[in-house]
Amino acid sequence: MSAIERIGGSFRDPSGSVFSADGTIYRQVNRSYQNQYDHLMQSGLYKDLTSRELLIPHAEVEHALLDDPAVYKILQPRQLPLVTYPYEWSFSQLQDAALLTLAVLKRCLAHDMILKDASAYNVQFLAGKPLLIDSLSFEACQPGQAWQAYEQFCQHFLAPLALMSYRDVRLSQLLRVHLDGIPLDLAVALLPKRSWLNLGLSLHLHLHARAQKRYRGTAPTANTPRKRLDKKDLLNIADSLRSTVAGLRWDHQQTDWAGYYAGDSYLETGFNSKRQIVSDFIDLAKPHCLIDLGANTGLFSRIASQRGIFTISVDSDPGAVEANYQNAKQTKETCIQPMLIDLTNPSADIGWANSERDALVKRCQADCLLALALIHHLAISNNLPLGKIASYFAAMAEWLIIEFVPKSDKKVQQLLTARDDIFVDYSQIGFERSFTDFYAIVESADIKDSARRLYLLRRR
Amino acid sequence: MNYLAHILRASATIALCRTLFAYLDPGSGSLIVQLLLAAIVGILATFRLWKARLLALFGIKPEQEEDDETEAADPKI
Repeated sequence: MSAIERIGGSFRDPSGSVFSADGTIYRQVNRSYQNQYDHLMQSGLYKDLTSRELLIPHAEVEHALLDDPAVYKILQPRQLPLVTYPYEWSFSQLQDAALLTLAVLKRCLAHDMILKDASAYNVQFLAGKPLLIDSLSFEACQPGQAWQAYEQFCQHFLAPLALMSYRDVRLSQLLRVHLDGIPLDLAVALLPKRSWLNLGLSLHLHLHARAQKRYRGTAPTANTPRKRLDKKDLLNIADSLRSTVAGLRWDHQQTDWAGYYAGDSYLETGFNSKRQIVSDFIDLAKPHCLIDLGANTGLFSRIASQRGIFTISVDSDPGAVEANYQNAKQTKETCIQPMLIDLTNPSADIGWANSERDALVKRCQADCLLALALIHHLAISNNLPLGKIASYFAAMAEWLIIEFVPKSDKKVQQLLTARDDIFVDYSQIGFERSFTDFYAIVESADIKDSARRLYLLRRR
Repeated sequence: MNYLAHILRASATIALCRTLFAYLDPGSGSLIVQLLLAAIVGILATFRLWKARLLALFGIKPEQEEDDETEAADPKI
């Protein structure tokens, strides 16, 4: 039997767990969950959800683990090229994941089942669309049952979306600290008073938070057979959540970078020259997976993604990531994954034993990095020595396409206006010296009408 | 809020059954508040239904909510 590795974040639900073997992800279904799993498969719910592309499809496979009597099935789900987390999503990505969860809940109720959890980590993006990836999130709906995952849904989805919409989009980063979603008492304390005017938010967040506080530690009586919440009630609650989530808005045009390309970094000739050189370098490197660091709205990412190369398009500006996702959604792009990442503080190993949610570098199997108009921000705005940048990039991927922006460039001059120029090594010679410690220069070319230079580098 | 608190307190004694496979702590307040929500959103849903019927009498079609479930396609494994 090949060695299996249990996935660190898969421990909460006793119904099963996720593991990898030989680079393939599998889901183990435990015997205790047999009836629920059979109900999912036989009720027509699985077919319904997968045909609507709401749930990840899987195949039941043979595996040595099935010798264990506690194991009922081993599933091989369709493999994801990348796992992303809610704190790496833009506003619309989180909103679409929330709407997907509610759409699944409604389909469940139509088949007398219900979602037993509503974690944002159960949603991933595949070919540009959100998809529920936990095939064990279902259970039979009991008469009179309230939705057990209602609190989790509000903490994972509604609270962060409301804070992003009503207060500040950067509050999505609270999800890094609160892995089980933003506590509702914290959310309502941060929301402005005008959020009470939104009926959905006043019911699902404000009133909900008050009820949590009032009934904390009180056991709801479980033995009374009187039926109070029927399926229609649950559908009404799901509809109310849906209209509340769908009604939240955030204008992404207001951030610094979302309108960057409308700025004046390049003349048209220079821009076209840069596009052509980047295209040529990508054709030379022939990567399978590319990460565009500081991708802005993904204009250059698309040079790779339109060639069918899976492209992770990373930026730290929520507005740029939002515009990137909206573009990808409108044009139904399947090879690009926009992500909200601050490269100076990328997602780390967090959660229980620091192994519940993995660092970005562990999740990305890229063989090429694209770092355009980025180095001056790292070296000057963030005071990073060039050698440290080269070493970090070299650890991430074999190929690097990087643009060197000299000190004479207007954008660098802007960065230096209010500070002393302490960056004595920041020059083309210093750049080449630092990077050739880790890379060989395969090609380089000047961008027309610009003092900037592009390099194609290959790790030594 | 006294009236709401009274409803919620009364609701605390009625059925909110836990299921065998629930592994989350759903939170007592989160379970109880759903009873109140069900009543409120139920009234709103009924109101919307009657509004739609009334408008239909005058030949006005209400705005259709965007469908949250994608069209069924062939399942892909």
